[in-house]
Amino acid sequence: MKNFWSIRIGKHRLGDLTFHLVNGIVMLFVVVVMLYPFWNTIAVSFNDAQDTLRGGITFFPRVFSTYSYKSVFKNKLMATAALNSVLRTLLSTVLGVLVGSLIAYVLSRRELVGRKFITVYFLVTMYISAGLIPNYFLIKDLGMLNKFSVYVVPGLVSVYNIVVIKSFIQSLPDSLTEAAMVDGAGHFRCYWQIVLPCCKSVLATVALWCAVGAWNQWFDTFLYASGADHLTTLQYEMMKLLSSAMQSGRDLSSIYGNGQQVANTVTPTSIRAAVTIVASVPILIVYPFLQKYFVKGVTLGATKE
Amino acid sequence: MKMKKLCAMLLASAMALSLAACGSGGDSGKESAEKQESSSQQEESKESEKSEESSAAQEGEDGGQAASGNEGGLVPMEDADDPITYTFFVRDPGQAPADDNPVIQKITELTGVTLKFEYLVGDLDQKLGTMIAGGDYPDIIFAGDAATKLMDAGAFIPLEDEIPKYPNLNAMYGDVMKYLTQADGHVYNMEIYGTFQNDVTEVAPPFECSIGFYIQKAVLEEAGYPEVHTMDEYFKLIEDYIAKHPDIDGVKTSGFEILADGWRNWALLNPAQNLLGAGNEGAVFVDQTSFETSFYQVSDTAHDFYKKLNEEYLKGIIEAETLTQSYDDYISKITTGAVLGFYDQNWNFQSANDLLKADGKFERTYVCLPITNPGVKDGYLDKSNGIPTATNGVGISINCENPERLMRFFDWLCQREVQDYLQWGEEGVDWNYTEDGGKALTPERRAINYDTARKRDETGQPVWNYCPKWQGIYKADNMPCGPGESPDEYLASQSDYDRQFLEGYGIKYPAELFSDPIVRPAYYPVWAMNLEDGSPAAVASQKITDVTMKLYPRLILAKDETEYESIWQDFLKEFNAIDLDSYQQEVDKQIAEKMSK
Amino acid sequence: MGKYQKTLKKMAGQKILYLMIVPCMIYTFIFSYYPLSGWIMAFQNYKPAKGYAGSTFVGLDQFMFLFEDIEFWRSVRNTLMMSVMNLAFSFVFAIVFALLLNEIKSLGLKRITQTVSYLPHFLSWIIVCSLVSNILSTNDGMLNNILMGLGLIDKPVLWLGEQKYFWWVTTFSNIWKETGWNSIIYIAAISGIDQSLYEAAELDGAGRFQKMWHVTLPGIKSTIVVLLIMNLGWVLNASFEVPYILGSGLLQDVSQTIDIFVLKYGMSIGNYSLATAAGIFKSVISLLLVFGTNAIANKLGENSLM
Repeated sequence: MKNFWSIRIGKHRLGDLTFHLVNGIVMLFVVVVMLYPFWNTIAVSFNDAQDTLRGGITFFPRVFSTYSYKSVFKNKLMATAALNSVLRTLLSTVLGVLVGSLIAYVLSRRELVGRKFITVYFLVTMYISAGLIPNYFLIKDLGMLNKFSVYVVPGLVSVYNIVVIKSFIQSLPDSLTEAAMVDGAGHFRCYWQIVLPCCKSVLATVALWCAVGAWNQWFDTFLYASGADHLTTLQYEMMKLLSSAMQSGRDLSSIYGNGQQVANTVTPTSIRAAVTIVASVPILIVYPFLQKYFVKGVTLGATKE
Repeated sequence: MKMKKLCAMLLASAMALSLAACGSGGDSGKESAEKQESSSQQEESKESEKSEESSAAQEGEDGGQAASGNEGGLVPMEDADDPITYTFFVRDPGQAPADDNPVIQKITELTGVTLKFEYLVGDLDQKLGTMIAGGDYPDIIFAGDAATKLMDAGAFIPLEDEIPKYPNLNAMYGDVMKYLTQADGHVYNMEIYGTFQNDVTEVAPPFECSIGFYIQKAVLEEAGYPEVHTMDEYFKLIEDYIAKHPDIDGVKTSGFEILADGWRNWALLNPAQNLLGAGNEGAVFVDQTSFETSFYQVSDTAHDFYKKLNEEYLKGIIEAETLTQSYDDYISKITTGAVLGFYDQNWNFQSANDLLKADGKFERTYVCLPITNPGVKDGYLDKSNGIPTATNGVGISINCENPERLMRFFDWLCQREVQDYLQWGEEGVDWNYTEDGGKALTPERRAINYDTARKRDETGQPVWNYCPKWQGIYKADNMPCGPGESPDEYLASQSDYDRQFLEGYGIKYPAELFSDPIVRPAYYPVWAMNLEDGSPAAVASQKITDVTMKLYPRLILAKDETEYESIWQDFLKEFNAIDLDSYQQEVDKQIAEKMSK
Repeated sequence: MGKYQKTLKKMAGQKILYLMIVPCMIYTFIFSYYPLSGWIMAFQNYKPAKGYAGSTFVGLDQFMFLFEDIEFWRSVRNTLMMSVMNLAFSFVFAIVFALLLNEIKSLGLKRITQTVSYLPHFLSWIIVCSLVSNILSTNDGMLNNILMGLGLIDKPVLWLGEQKYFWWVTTFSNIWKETGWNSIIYIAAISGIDQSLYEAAELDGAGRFQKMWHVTLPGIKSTIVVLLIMNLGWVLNASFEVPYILGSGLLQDVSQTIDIFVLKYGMSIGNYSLATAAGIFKSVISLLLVFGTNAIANKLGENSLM
């Protein structure tokens, strides 16, 4: 059998060719299956809202319309919202990665006295939550209601990210840091100059998680900053649009009548599609940008010297 | 996996998120039912001798403009030059009107008052929970039946001594103060829906029934406009039509749809009470003379109703998938024009209806029928009793810095001239007198009213909607308060097909297919009652929904009669295992309380 | 005493590390531990209007309400089953996807596949579920069409109406939406593997699958184990949206999860205390699961959380 797969066609082994063929087909299948929902959402977002109610939109709009987008962009708070979203995403990502990797570094030091206790201390917080009202009291007591800081500070420490980074650091060869410490580098330099550069791929992942998480958050605006228009975020504005579209369906005054004049209506389905596209495209751009950190395999040998 | 933990507020937030995403909060069913209610709350005014003018003259010294004081134009408030902004929380989702809304600009110009609305995003209970816990109230709050929580928290200022100082508000609420008064002796809310117990307005007649068994007009037309009163007659029509038209416009004809998606569950749960002759009552049947309550869910009527649906399922008139389909699927199915019947509330399938009209398929639109048990008088139409719920209104919070001016503003809004301006707009531009002397909108304005965004951005609706307002018909000149209550407007907006359909039955409005609207007793309806949070009654009420939602579909899909009967026995067992007494006692108690006022 | 002093001395030598970690611990105390005083409401009949001080204490009533209701235990079972199926399959799919992706030679193709695969993560569940229900429809749904075309069934199956299919529906919906997203961490971990290991393996004559098995998988094993343990802790929290959106009365017995139960009997009837009690119950189970599995992993000599 082994010999069979080893037969060469040109310079390629038959086994390799078969594998790449099969893998290519599988990947093509994945691309089609995974692309479809998003593609479909785009098609729906560009379809006339009323017509969409008929169902059956698959790959292309049936009655082309940009009205859903118009009603999204008509919102006078869009610019403020976008700015706030970008700001909070940037801040949360940068700080999240720094704080996360710092804690992870400390927790990865086997010699640290009390390491086990400190680790458990952080781990536990992943599985406990005080609930809505106690958290509200906390934010209020800290004076963060209707302040921009409420978008960044409460989510700063993510234990999940810390554990992921920590396990990555621990998989690095000990010799790496030991050598540096022997050279007289302090912990901070060791963290900053030796460990961080080795963790690029995992830090890129964590950055992506932080960015997507911060970007998609609307609940904190709803609870803690809904009274301040200048603090609104993109996701919150999108939620507003969506819920008001749901409400307008129940608007009674237009129930009677022959309905022929109905034009330019918004429906939850159409608004949801447009809102999804508007709110996700900016953050989608982040990933390809981070991808270069994934494909470049880290060659640890180089740093070992 | 990762997202879950990124949001620190674990459970609660996850829920709110997905809830908001699917637009169905735990109590949004109630809310929407309430919306429904607001339209049908058309009430008869109890007589009282004073006219609005005289009450204004007597009590209106510090009340700004009295309703009668000005001819034609709108009179500015005296402190119109001194701008003030009030924050206003509304328990409904919505969008703020555009800044350049001409009507709102004019109101602000005349009064100096700007209302800054905060509409609900996310879950109401969570929003109010934190609002109350932190004491962070906006100036004005419309919370619907959740207002009791705010009252308990002392969020509102008492209004019982304030309302009489303002002539228009007094004209509106003076006669119902006892109903507005809470157990602690204070009035906290000014009702904004259906206050008809006054000298100024009376209830408008209903044009259409809003809830019940709908049937496609083509079915009735083909059968020669028959009178339909029972389930058997109803399904006979549908069966005959399907036999003749196995498909409509190339789509397989569907006999009867049953929507049971989340809180949109009334098609599955409610019909039995209507068959017994009740209106849209709630989870119990209430005898209208003795006020004895009983559970219609387990009545013979219910047994026979689901049996009938089961028979229709076995005949192929009802498809199994209807019980699992989502609301969107349901709507898209109706828009094909190939669905013959369903039980629903008008606003719920309105979007599909509009689409059929837009396609010119008027014969594929629907009309509601007075289906009951044989020999039972139908109770679908309500003539509301005009008694306020005491929660469905606006309250002024303790954080409001200038409540006096706000009350003056509300009073100013309730002048007839202002109301006409907000609801109808300008004569000649927005509306005209008809030949019969009534009012109807101009086609341009009608188009605006049908367009949610334009209505919000170009008319006075956003201000009018959530402030104290007049509804129904003005007694003084028999004019409708708004377009929705105008018979002339209703008729003017009908299509030729619909006029012909009404002629076929020899009626003026579809509502005439039904018995006369019933004036409901003071307690009505049960669904609007407040059950204490987390109380056994509230739990039982939830259980009732759960058990019926679970077992009714199984009854409908039973393989044969034997299986039907055995599932019915299972159902009785599960249903009776619920703590029904707690619920029933609470309802009985509340009925007795309301009836004794 | 000597040991004590030695420890102190060691700690003093690590003061930089403490300087780094202590502020973070204080922060965590403020944001995670301090608000836990709110757990008191699980033992009360909490009313926001009355506050902690004014609400009446009811002892363990809220917990009893949960534990005495068969529906609650049924929802615990449903949650567990759906979560575990979900966890198992989504791990396998994400890892296999990451491995296969890693084998693609063309950088461009790799990036495109990777980017496309994570798109569904950004769609809300309501959108994905509506597509799922279209696919499963008996009325010209894709799955029924395919199966009938293949002659495997002779009439459409009501996938969303039968209890036995429901957990699979939720599992595959999850795989569809999250495989790409979940695989990112593995792709990152794979790229972190020392390239010289592959070279060494090649020298030993290892083939493609042997390299995957002997180099790549061990290289990401610690990531897999750590993620698995952490996610096990959330098995009681997971699966809210799909059962909520796709569930119906017919499926209630298998689709009601803890979160849905709590939503119905807690939040939606204003009972914050019940939600808190359920939260505590879940926290306790979660911590037991996490530290239990962690201990097992330790025993097996695997990399673990600590």
